[in-house]
Formats: sequence, C-alpha cells, structure tokens
Amino acid sequence: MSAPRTATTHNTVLIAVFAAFIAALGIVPPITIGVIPVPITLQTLGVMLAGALLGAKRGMLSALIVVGLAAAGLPILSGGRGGFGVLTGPSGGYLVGWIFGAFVIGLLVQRWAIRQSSPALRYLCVGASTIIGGIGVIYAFGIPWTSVSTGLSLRTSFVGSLTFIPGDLIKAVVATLIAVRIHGSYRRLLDA
Amino acid sequence: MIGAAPAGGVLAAIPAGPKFGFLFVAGIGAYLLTDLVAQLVVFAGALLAVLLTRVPLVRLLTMMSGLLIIVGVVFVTTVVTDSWAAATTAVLRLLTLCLFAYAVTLSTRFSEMLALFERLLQPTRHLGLSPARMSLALSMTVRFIPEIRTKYLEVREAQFARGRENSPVAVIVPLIVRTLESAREISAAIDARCYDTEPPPRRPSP
Repeated sequence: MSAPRTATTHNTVLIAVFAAFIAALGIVPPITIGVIPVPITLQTLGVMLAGALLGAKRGMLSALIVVGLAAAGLPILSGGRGGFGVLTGPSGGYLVGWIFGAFVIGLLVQRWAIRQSSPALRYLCVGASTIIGGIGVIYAFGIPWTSVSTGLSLRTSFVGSLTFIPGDLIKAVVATLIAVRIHGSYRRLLDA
Repeated sequence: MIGAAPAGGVLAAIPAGPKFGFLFVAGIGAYLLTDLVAQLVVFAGALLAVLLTRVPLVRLLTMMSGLLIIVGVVFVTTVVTDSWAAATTAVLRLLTLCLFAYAVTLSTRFSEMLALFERLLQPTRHLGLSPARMSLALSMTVRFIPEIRTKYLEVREAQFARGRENSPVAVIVPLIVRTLESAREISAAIDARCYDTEPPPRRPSP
C-alpha cells in the first residue's frame, strides 16, 4: 500500500502548491511583456499552467481550491479581490470557467497534445489546447454570466470581453512555451 | 503572511466558523449596499475589525501596500470612465472586503482554519471523496501562497540582474521548477511523518 499512498500524497501536495501558485500569481505585481506597454496580470496564466502541467483532474482541483478560497473571503484574486461577492459579480463566470477551463486544457494536453512526436507539432497542439480551454471554455462561462449579472445583452457582453482576448492570447502562448519546456524536464508529471 | 501570523486580539476568541460565515455574508452584502453612508459605516467597521487584531500598523501597511496601489488605480480609472460616485463605491467595497478578510485571517490560527475546512468537507465523504486529504490540500494552499509569492519576487529579482525580468518564461519556469521540487520534499516529509490521509489499509486475513 505504501507506493499508492506516496503517490496520493504527492498528488495532494501538487494540487495544493499549484493552487497556491495560481493564487500567488494574482497578488504579485503585474508584468510587462516585451514591447507591449500594458502590464498584464498573470492569474489566468496560472490556471492554464495548472491544467497543462498537472492534467485534467488535478488541474481542475487546483482551480477549484483557488475559487473556493476566494469565495471564502481570502483576497487572492488579482487586484486583491476576494469574498463571495466576486462570484456574484459581473466577472464571476470567468472564475467558475477557470475550473472547467483547467479541466479541458488538462484533458487535451494529456490525451493528445503532449503525445505528438515532433517538437514543433507538440508546441502547436499544446497551444491549441490552452486556447480552447483557457479562452474558449472560460469565456463560454464568463460572457453569459456577465450578461446575466449586469443586465447587458449577450452581444454587448461578448464585445466587451473581446478587449481581454489579446492579453489572454499572449498568456496562452506563454503558458504553452512554459508547459512544453517543463514537460521536457519532468516527463512523469502527467502520470497521475 | 496569510494565516501564519500568531492570532491576537479579541477577535481570536471568536471561532473560525462564524468568522468565515460573516465574511461570506459580508461578501454578498458589500455588493448589495449602494448607499454611501451605509458603505462608510461598514467600512469603518472593517477598519475597526482589523485594528482589533492588534497587528502593528507598519506591518499592516506593508501587507496592504500592493492593495492600496490597486485601489488607487481602480479609483482613477473609474473616475475617468464612469463617475465619482461609482469610483467611491468600487473603492470602498474593495477596501471593506479586503479589510474584513485580513481581519479574519489575522485573527484565526492556521489550525482553526484547518479544523473548519475539515468540518465543512465532512459531507463529501458520502460522495466517495476523502475530506481529510482535501482539507490538507486547502490548508497547504493557504500556507504556500506567501511562500510562492516570495519565491516569485526572488526569481524576478535574479532575472532583473540578467535584464530578463520582463520575460514571463524566464521568471515562471524557474518558479515552477522550485515549486515542483518543494512539492516533492513536502510530500516526502508528510509521508515520513505518517500523516494518514488514507483510511487504514485492510489487513490481509491470516
């Protein structure tokens, strides 16, 4: 029994430290990337990385812990936000989307993207996975939620969310570069 | 540090459950309050709650310096894009919630928080999940947030010396490698101490 117990302990710890990683990225000063003058917050990057590095189940649990702790009132979301109000507020859907986004990214990376044999193809597929899960899925929760909580039309809510697409695309690219690199050195990370 | 501080003041006497319950209600309430006077009153209450934890003012200010900068940015952008009233509401709401959250975390011992989470998670046992392991993960997360934040700032400073502080890949890859290493050490330490998160294995019948 000792081998499986070691594995479960390690999984529990990985889920916890990645949840802490996502939370910590929300409370560090935003980073300016390359030539783009606007600093971006890194929290979604953390969510994408949790899914891409830990796989579907563990990545999802990490995101779930962050959302749970934030809802419990810890000010760990970017901008020092926290409290149950953030879930009921206009951007609450994006938070709920994190949980499913991390799951989808993990699933795609685990089952498909990381198994590609050629390195270039691997980068492309991991990139596609982070975009599908980290933007597609998260926005699929966020946009309707904004529209419900603010009373705006779906269309307005959709157009408004477009302003965040460039930043999130950059984050998806960065997450891809990091994830492929880390998987290169930690090959057994996805063996749950 | 979140939750790692020794709990002090009168608020420490209140059990963790009611405090988190209050935070939960305040989180909703802050969004429902629209009257400026009511908001100011609640804000004063939050300020009082933080002062009751008897954390030295200097430490409090360092802890909240980042938040205060963000509050300033939110205020200015809201004034520009919306109105003074909206800006005041947004800023007061943000500060009130954060102050209450700080008050709760500063006056609650880590062990109390762990016990509370464990209690809240008990019902999930019937769903085939392991509440003990989940509460371990939750409390470990809270413990590691300041830790990872410090590591991030360290790595970023090191990359600053190389002129690469604005390359997220150069900052986050070392951060993740360090995080994965400490995860391995921690899980080895947990196993070495036999922190049993699993139900005891069935003994083989003789």
